[in-house]
Amino acid sequence: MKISIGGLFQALLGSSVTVLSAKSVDAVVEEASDNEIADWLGAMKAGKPTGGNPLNINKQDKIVTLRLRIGRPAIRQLFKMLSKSQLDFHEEWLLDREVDEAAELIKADDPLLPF
Amino acid sequence: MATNRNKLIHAALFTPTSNGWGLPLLFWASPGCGKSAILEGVAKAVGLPLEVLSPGERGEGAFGVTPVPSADGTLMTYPAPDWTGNMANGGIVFLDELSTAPPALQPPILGLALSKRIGGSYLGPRVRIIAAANPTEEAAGGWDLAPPLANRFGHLDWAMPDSEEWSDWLLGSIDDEEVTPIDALKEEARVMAAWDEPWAETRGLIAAFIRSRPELLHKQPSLGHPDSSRAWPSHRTWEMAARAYTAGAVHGMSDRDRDEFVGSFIGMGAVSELVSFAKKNDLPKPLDVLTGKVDFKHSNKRLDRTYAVMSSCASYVTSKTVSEDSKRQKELAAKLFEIIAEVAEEAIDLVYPATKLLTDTDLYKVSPTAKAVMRKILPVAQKISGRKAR
Repeated sequence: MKISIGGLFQALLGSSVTVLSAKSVDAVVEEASDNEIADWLGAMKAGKPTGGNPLNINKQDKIVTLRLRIGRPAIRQLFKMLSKSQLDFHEEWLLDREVDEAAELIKADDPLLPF
Repeated sequence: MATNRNKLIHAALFTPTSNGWGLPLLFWASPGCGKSAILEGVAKAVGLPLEVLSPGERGEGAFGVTPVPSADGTLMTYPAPDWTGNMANGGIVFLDELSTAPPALQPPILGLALSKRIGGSYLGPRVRIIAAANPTEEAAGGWDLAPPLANRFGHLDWAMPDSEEWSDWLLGSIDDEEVTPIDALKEEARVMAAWDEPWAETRGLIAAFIRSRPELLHKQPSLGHPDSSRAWPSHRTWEMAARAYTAGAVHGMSDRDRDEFVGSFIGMGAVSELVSFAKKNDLPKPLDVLTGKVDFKHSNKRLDRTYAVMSSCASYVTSKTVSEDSKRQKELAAKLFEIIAEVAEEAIDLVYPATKLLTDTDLYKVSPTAKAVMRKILPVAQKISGRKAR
């Protein structure tokens, strides 16, 4: 059972996403298709994390809650795909973003010790 | 006297630099005092081939600057001189009577002195450069050394043996100079194993010193001044001086010998101030601070000391030796971030260089404290970045 990141992102187009940290997001997919629900149910039964690890599947209302373990580039891609109203940020992510921003600026600076 | 000189030569030959082994030394001596013979003895003792190059005697060809047409006559080439073939596994190039080098030959000697390049060829990391010069007024056809060439060497005076020393030598070791052989490769390995901590300590010390005395970073004597052909502080010579200072610890030199060695690059005035700064600040060893053996406390009244300690600790944590054990490196980095966090509460700008070293080595997320420091330093980084963008 393997669900591609691309496939996941398509599913997330209509969902709301909470960015937890630099490496994980939670997504609530509403109106999931029968095929998507079948794929994710299969993944849950197999107990395998896939591109998206389902936390909860509500078959009746067709709502799937996913936890995605994805890297920073994938998160950036998500930002481009989703509207601001779909995104929410966990505090940890915001703090981590400041750490990374500081690191990026500091690395770009010239060495300070004379040698 | 000879013992001191031989120690300095040994330390210079076995000091690692950014392009291999050896700090270039230039001995100033009157003709006929036996420099070449002593260098031959040193080379023999360490098992390295010696090539004596005298600009006045060997001419331009020996320095790889004589153009030769290619076989088809379409290009001019600068073939490596024949003697470079002996240097494949290392060696000592002794530039004798350097003050007989005419101005036109000084530029190629620049490349040889510091980059170990001759013509278009790199001689290799195990080739060392030592030079000697007669004072200009005593050299046959002598020239002053141009400041850029002078600034590529450590300058030492080669004292003439007095009558007693010379008589002792005549009656004693004239036919059998005492030479203790050592294995150069083993000595290089020993030096590298002992290098990282004192090197980190020195980097912190000198960075803090230059921060407190910025006018000493580059202080070139005016053109024509006799000192412009000797040791003076520059960005380049400070780096060489830092390596000499570290070599003093690694080779077990006395403070006096070490100061003479360091002063040969930046001048004795600058080294006196450096030594006085080091004494005043009584800097602890980085590993002692990081392992808690020494309880370092930041004081607002001793900002230079704090700067030196944090810089030397960061330099040590990011050194080659420590980086070979990733777990230990992260532990030491986490400990250093605790110190940095404490200092950052009172003097955020002071922690920037140490934090930068840790960040450049991707050690900025080793602990929650590290992340807190990074968040705290973000406005400083933004300010610096904005200032540079303008």
